[in-house]
Amino acid sequence: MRRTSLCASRCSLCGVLWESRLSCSGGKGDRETSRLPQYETIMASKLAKPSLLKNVVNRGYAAQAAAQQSYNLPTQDVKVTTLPTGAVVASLENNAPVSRVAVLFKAGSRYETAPNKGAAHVLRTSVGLGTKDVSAFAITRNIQQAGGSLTAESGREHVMYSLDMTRNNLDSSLEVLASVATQPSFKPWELADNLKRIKIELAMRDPSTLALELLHGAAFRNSGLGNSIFVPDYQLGKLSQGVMGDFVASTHLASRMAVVGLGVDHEGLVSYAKSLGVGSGDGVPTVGAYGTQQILGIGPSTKYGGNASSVLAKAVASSGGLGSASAININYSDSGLFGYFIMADSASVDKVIDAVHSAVKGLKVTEADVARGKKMAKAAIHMATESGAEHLEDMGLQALLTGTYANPSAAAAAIDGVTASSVQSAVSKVMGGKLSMGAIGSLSAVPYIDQL
Amino acid sequence: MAAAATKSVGFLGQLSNSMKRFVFRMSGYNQYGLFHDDCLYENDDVKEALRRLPQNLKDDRHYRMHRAIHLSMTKTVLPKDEWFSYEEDHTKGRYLQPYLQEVITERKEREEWNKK
Repeated sequence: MRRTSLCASRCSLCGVLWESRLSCSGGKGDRETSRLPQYETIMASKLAKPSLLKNVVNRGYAAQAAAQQSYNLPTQDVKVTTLPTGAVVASLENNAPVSRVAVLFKAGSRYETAPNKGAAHVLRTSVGLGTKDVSAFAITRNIQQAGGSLTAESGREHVMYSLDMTRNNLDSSLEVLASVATQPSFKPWELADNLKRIKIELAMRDPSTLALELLHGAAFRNSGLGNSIFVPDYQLGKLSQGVMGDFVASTHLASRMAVVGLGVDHEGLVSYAKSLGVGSGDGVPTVGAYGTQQILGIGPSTKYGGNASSVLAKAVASSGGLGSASAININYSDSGLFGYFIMADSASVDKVIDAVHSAVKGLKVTEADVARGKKMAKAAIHMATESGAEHLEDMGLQALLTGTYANPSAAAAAIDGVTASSVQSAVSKVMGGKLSMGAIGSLSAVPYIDQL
Repeated sequence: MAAAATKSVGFLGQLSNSMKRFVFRMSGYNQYGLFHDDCLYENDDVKEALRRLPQNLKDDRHYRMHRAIHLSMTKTVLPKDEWFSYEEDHTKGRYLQPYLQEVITERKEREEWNKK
């Protein structure tokens, strides 16, 4: 019954949107989402039994509405609190009818070690399985009955459990969220049943996702960021209850946690975060806090999207080969990848790669390019806060990785500081560094990295 | 008064204990080398509990069943020193109970929800 939705729709925006985020962006494969089924209409019919009284009340409201009352809701800013345990709580009261709450931990694939490789993927797909105090059935049914949605999402650095729920049903569902996020039990038979779902997810990965996985493996090698966000084949079914329990115990700690909310009371969220039964300590070593320079890095990447007038598209057109290219910029808390992503006909792929590589290498950044890039980047930052789910994720990742929240206006203001020369030096610095390549498909014509 | 009450509970406890031992001896599954949980009627709950049973316990169960079928075919029982005692039956012989209880709780929870 559980569905897994790959977040393809959001990623079509990735050339623009994802760079404004703090975590790994850059491709369909960089986050995967597991989702509980949405509200089912069969149950709705059971809930909404019509009664005479209800009709009367409804009419009453209708009469009131005709009176044209207007309300002035106070606009509020994001509030951030750091608990003594190290957990960060951030919330924004946006007066929306749907509240969203997310619990994040630094428990992505980069914190896996050789024996538990793939644990982050299994963790993400295990959302909705029974916990120590709630059964799988009760989790699904409670959330469904209240009309909400519970999602787990993980990237290379984080795992995020989020709950979307109407305001008046939030309290009871928060208990379920707490249990799912902090008390997973990984019952062996449920893990075994879940294997099918993991296999389907693995089979549904598209080539671009696999190419990015290979690129990470090549660029970061044995450091944690080289770990795939998917479980390797040899680990399927081997990640037992004990291994998963240890992974959770070493990563789901108060010092590595962030709790964020949209449309919730900040004081309430703080006490909720305090009530979560997570351990203390540091767990698996984490990397240092993230600076603000990644926001500057957004400049170069947005300029060369897949659109016809971009530098990369022109390079592909002039190469005489068939294909398309886009720029990628993937940021992590201590590192990142910048470069280009090419899809091309296998016969002419060498021409396309040569043309694009020399276009990026010999790039001359003009003031007009930078001005355009800045506008697109600012628009992207503000657009990201339009959707509740993305805003929540943005808040969560910033709270988790930096411990603070830079609101969109501040981030947009930081972009104003970017100049053509700073972009030029960033590009030449990156292209002068060591190159990595990941490739998948028919590779006979693909050049080796030292031939570029 | 309190002492008398304790004494009477003790007596009833003893009586029920000896009744249990009597029933255990009369049922005689221990003579075939079986445990209490080897003889459960396999309804849906038990089937699901068996599915969840760890492999090593499942293997032991199959071994005991094979042995019992063999004994039954040859119309013999185990030598008396290999019979499981009443205590063994109560400590090791209830290996399925934790899984079974969980299955039953889950089923009751489902039924409770479906009533609404």
